[in-house]
Amino acid sequence: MSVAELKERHAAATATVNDLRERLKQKRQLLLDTDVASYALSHGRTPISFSSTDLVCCRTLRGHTGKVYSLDWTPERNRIVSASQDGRLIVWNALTSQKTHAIKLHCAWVMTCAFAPSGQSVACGGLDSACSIFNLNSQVDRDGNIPISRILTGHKGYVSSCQYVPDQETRLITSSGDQTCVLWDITTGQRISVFGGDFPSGHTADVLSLSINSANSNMFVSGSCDATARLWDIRIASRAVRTYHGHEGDVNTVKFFPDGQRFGTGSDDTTCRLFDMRTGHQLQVYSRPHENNDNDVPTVTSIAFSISGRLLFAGYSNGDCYVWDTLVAEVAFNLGTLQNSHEGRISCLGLSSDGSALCTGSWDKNLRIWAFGGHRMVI
Amino acid sequence: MAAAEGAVAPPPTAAPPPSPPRPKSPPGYPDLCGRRRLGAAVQVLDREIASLEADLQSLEGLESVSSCCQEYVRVNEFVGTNPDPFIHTTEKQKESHQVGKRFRMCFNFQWICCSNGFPPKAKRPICPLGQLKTLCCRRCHGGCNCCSCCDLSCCRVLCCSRPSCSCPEFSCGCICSCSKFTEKCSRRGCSSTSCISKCLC
Repeated sequence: MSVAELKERHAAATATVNDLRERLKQKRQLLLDTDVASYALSHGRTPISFSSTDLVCCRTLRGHTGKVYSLDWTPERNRIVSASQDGRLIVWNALTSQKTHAIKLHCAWVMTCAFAPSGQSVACGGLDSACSIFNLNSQVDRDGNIPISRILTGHKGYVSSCQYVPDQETRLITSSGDQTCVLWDITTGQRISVFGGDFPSGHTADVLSLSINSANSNMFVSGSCDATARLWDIRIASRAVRTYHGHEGDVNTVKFFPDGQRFGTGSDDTTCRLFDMRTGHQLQVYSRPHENNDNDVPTVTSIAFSISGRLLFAGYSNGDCYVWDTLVAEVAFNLGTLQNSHEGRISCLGLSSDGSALCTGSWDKNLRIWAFGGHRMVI
Repeated sequence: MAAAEGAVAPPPTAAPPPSPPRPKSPPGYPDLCGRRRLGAAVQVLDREIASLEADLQSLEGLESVSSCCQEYVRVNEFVGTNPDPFIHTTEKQKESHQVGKRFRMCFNFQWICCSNGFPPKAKRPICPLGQLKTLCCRRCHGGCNCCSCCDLSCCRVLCCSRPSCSCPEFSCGCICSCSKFTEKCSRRGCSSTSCISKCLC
């Protein structure tokens, strides 16, 4: 086929894609008869509110000498691993604030880290396009560093996010700037499945985040610079189960709702959204209230649901951390207004496994742990 | 005949310099790189078309958003069976019970907030309103000044007010990552490159 013919085909295909997208948008719009907040308020649901002393910062974890990019809790709730631009992973005892491990990385440009289900290993990845595994019980080398126990290579772009499959010490999923996600066998270091890439219905731009469904670990959702989130079944790598449209910018973060039937997203378009996994419907948009200076609206960098799902914690690029009431789509509180809040972008956040503590990581080099310190009724 | 004495002989006529060699025009080869790139782009679009058509098909007979919202609200009504540590109890729950004094105390879930010196299972001190600060204030780490606390928030472990500090200006250095090389950019707020869509600053 000649170049001229190819150009003609390209133009025709582009027009078809745009036409199909528009038709999809219109069809979804016809089904969008309400949203969660409108429905909840019309059925008498009332917002949750917090006083200024209800949410407190209980710990400040200081030790990184560079921006914090990622964090993860252990399943047994009392340890946190964090990754920083200083080229280190630090494992913290959340109770005492002490550092139990400080792992120097071969590649300082780390973007993500994760704890293994057992809490005995950590994984990290970044601009080296690989995922490195460290066993925390390993003997240190003569420089005092924990050696890499396994390195997972194969991505053709940076590793943006990694997560262990729940309850599986040897399975891990990564997302990458090469537009794919990969399921790995850590024991052999081999790729089990590749999601996207050459296959149809894969992401068409960098994949920035992923979240595995804790209620059904065969399913995970990914968020991408192509402004979509996609649902995958790890048993069927050949195509995405569903694509979720709605965002108007990079989808930086995705997180499953506690019951696994919905998931939340956060984007460069400054909104968080709630999607229904089964139908693909966008259930709610969580937009920041309009501020005076509309030119520089902060983007959403990270999200987490409270254990009931009623609250959505969202970290923003300006250091705000909104606590959204997901039922009525109102901001119940902004941790960024507290005196001891972060002084820079919130890059990551995560909830402990029992839901009692929220940890936030920031470009101000610190991590902070927040908990509810408000009134309880004595009965 | 000899030239007259003193007359200047005309300069010999110089032969014109040979014209510099000219390279031949490149042959009319097809633009293979451009064609392959275009072909790959068309393939991506064809995949996108198939995916969008499947998405459209899946919408046939789909229920409206309101039924999903109804389900979501119903799920949230069962919050009481899965208590959320970040959500305070409501007034309604005290109706049929003896109403005790209202204290600020660390609840079961605040293992991390009140665990400094107080093992999770040990009895935690109750700090009634107006109680002296010494009951609850803790020494702050990192040189912070311990602010006044315990008048309302005795269970705060770190109640410091952070000393004001000026943060140095960091230049936003962006890193481009490609499969074969890394290159450090120095532009602040640099936009996407051919290697990665987002710069790390």
